[in-house]
Amino acid sequence: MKNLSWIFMTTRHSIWRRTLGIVSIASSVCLLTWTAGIALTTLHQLEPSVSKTTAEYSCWIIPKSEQSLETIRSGGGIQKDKVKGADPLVISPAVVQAVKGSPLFSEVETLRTEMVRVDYRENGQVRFGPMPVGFVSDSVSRMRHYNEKDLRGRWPTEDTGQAEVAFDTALFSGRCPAIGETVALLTDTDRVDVKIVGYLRRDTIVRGFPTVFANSVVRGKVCRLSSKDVNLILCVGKEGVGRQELLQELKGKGLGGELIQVDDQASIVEGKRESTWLQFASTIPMKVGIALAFMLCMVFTNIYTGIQRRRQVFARLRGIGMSRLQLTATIIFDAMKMGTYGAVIGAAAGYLMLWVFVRTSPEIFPLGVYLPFMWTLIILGVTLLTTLLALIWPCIKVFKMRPKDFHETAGTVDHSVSWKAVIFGFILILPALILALPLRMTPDTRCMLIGWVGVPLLIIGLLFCSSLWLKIVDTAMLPLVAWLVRLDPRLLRHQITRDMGRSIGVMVTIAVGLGLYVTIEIWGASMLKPFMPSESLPDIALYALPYGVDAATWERIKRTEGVLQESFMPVLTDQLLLSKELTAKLESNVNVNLRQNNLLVVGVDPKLAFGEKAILPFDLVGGDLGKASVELQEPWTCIIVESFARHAGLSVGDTFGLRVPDDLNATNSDYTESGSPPPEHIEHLKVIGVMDMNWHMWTSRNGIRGRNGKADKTVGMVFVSYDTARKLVSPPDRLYYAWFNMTPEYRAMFYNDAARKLEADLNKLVAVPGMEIVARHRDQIVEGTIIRARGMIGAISSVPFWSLAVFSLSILNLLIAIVYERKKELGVMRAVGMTRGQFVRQLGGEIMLIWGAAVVLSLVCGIAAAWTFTGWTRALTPFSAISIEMTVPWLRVLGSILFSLAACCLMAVGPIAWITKEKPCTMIKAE
Amino acid sequence: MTGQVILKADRISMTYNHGASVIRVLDEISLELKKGEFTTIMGPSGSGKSTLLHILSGLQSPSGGNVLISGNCITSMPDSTLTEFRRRHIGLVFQDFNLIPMLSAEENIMLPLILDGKRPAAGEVDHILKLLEIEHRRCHRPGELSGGECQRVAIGRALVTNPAIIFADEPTGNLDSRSSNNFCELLRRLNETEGRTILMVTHSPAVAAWSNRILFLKDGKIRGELNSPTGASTDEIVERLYGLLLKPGVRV
Repeated sequence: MKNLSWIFMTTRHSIWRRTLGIVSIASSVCLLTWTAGIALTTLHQLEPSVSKTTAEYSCWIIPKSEQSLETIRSGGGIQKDKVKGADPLVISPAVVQAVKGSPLFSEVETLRTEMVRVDYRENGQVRFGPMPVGFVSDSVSRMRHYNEKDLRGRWPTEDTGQAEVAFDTALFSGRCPAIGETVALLTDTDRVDVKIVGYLRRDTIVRGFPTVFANSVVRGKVCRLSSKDVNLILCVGKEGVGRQELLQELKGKGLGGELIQVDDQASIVEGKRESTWLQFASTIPMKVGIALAFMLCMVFTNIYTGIQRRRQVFARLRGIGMSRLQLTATIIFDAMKMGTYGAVIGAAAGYLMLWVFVRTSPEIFPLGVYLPFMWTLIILGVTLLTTLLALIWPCIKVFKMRPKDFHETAGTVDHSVSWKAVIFGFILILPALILALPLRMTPDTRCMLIGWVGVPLLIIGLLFCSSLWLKIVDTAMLPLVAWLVRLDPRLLRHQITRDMGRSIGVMVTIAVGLGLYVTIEIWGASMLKPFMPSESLPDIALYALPYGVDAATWERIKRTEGVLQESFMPVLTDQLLLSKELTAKLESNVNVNLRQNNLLVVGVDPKLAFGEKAILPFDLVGGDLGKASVELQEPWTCIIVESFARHAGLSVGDTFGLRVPDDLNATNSDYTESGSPPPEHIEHLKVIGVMDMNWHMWTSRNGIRGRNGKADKTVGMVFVSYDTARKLVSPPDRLYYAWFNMTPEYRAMFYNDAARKLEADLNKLVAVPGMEIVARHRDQIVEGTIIRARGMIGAISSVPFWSLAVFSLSILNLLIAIVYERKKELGVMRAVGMTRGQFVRQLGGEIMLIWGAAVVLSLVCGIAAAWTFTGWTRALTPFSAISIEMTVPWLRVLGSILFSLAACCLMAVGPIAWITKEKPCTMIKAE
Repeated sequence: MTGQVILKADRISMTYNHGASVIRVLDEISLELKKGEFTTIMGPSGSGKSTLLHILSGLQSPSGGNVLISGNCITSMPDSTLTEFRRRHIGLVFQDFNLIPMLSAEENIMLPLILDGKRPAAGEVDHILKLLEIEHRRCHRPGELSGGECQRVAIGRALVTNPAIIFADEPTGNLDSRSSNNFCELLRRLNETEGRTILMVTHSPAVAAWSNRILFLKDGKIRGELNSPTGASTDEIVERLYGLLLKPGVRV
């Protein structure tokens, strides 16, 4: 090895190449270190954050809901604890007594808590995502772990006559409402406006523990339990006493079958670790994959370029007696040195980034950075392994080097296509093409085969076909690129094929970055599209909850400024369970166990909804709209949405059954004590039309779903006439919902301003205490959906965006190679009469050719991968009623393509500027 | 030969700063080339021959002085104008041939026209290929040609734009003696039959003997001149050159 050291003197001429290699490796290692570090650090903080919330309590008990999927599917679908007028769940007195009398605990506190939802809309915007769910405890003073130091503001004052609360900060995932603001607490039956007077700083929520600390004014309105009822028992026990000990004791007393949940710190931490890990697990594989792929591509291209550059030197060394093994060893040593430097620098940079981030958020990371040294070693090991993997082909090339190769100048030969490699590549691509056909297999199986077999083989196959692909690009794209750069095509011809290995390396590196971005964007758009409310929906969905309004008030609402009166349509709606046959058919068709088996029935005015001046001007995908608007006036007819029709296998003319309670006014209090469902009968509806409508968010954000104890989710939506609706839903003495369009003046306003003005005017008009009139604009829902979707896939989608820019670094590899290898040739061109402008355009043309080849490759692979991910998601999604089909956001894809071109050009600026400054005579003298 | 001056160099100097010292490579050289002349510049190694050629051909800027080609002052031209002038009015032949490896022989010859975005006149390239006796190799790439053929292609590239002057920097440096002879014969023929103005740099007396004027360069200055050298005068060339080496500063 000592004798080989002088070899590396040649590397002083490759300082830029080696620097680029080290920077590439460092950036990958930095990403790996950050990824591992942020996950481990976050997981490490869980214990203190849980401990902060649960203080010195050994364990605690809350009631467990008896609701289960089986209960829903067997027909007892209404949640017992959520039915209108029903009481919240409680812990049985026997359990309370047993725990109070247990010798395990020195102190036992019994509390009653009430579940509420916090209706907070920042700036009056549509709220997206679930409402924060809090638990109001019955006494502020009885929780021993309240630490005044953690309180910002003050505790609510008892008996002031004003409704005051203090919140747990962990209740709000985003910005907390300011102290002094008023928010609404919603129960199933009531709404209480409360003023925020303080915040208790907590990092995490523990289920069952109080998060809303209210005074007696609020508790009096919200709490439905009697003073004797208990639904939270907090236990302080001797050391070592925890959940298991309590469960054993209760079992010993014959209370093992009680519907209670017993937790302690360890079980909560374990649960949170699992859920937190799952959150990271959704992005870790991608980040690790990107980092390793980038490292692999860059190291390969870098080393390969270096070999080409020193080809003559190596051949001469072989000529004077250096063995193949010695020569190969120099390459490996060179690469490992680069890998080691890069790994150390990258690890240090990643740790520094993590440290700075953690230091700026001490309340989230009280224990600081947690990254055991073992993990750093693992990352270094992975880096060196990846570097070795990237060396396989270059080492084979060096191993084959012969002394007589010294006269062969690098990059002067137009490499022909290796047809053996191409044929092998096509064979590898075939499985993906076959699996894309409509074969007789379950969607799950197909997804798994495509994901684990088809797509990887497709990508490897395309790599083997790369040489042919570059040849095709060199011929097919050449005229266009030459025209774009205003050069004779002969000046660009064969430039990208003169060094296949390097060109393939650069092309693949760019393609990986762009392909990842395309995959995520397509997958994100496919996920998003079914949730975007259809443009044909009316401007405004109005709801008056929880009490509804009478017909006279509705008329006044209709005549409010901004409401287009002729479009105003009240809506009667409720959710009804599907018949058993229909449920079984649905589950068989979608091949998942349905988590929801109800249908949203919407009663409308057929003429107004679907007639000549329809406010739902949808084209029917089944049936005729003109006929449907007439036929819908007949009783027991309906128009169903396309997703429900497809999943249920229904078409125009078919009928299906719904389970309708015999007494539409019955509440849960009328049930038997065993909780069996109310008496019901089956009503059949006939399908007279099928409508393709994105209904999910429209109904989710308009208060239509999840009312009166019904499930939030539904399998679909069906339109019926008012007459039919009155036989299916509660006869309305009150009206709760209406849809309408706005007047042209209001339409000319920004939609958010128009909706807020309407809402304010209507709330002033109605002015009933506890009542809320909400006007939701369709575009508010669209905007919120996009923001929420971006938030959900944001962590995933930001990484490929980074990859777009960073993978373009590979262009530097190309240009460094050009600058060194072809310096003399470029000097001759300048001497013969090539201007600087032509010179720059020639280099630009070469970049565009390789980039163009990479773009097509990335689109093919990206769309294939996106199709696989979308299929996986469709197979595994909880939204089994939503039709998720692959959607390609072509504008965003085009934007990413142009961005990658811009990034490549930006990377090229430095080397091109440097080489164009050189004088022709200096360049000609280069070796 | 006509008397029209094609190239005029006036007090050309070239100096390099090397640390504290200043190296004067060319010291106020003035010379003129008339149309149809075949001139050689000779001198010992490090005398500044190639530097002078690069300055006269516009590849390098002098530290002082002017160069006029066909009345155009190339030393004051901006880079893009100079590049275009070089493309259209100057032919260059290098020792290493310096052909573009991805272009065929014909395309290498046409390179200046390709860069100019022009098409050659009908039959022009064929005429050049025929003149250079490489018609049968027109589609071959430089990697498939011999050294002599490569140099002929280089000559063709220098001829295709009908330049005012052809500069050749050690054109036979990489050729064997036979190819070297053939090459020199070609240059001579171009000069005599087509009236091409040629300025060549060489250190070989045998090659220099093909020209009709030799300028001897030593220590940055032209120390002597020999007109109409023939094969019989090769010895005289050697003697003059030898004298140059033995007696620095003495005009030969």
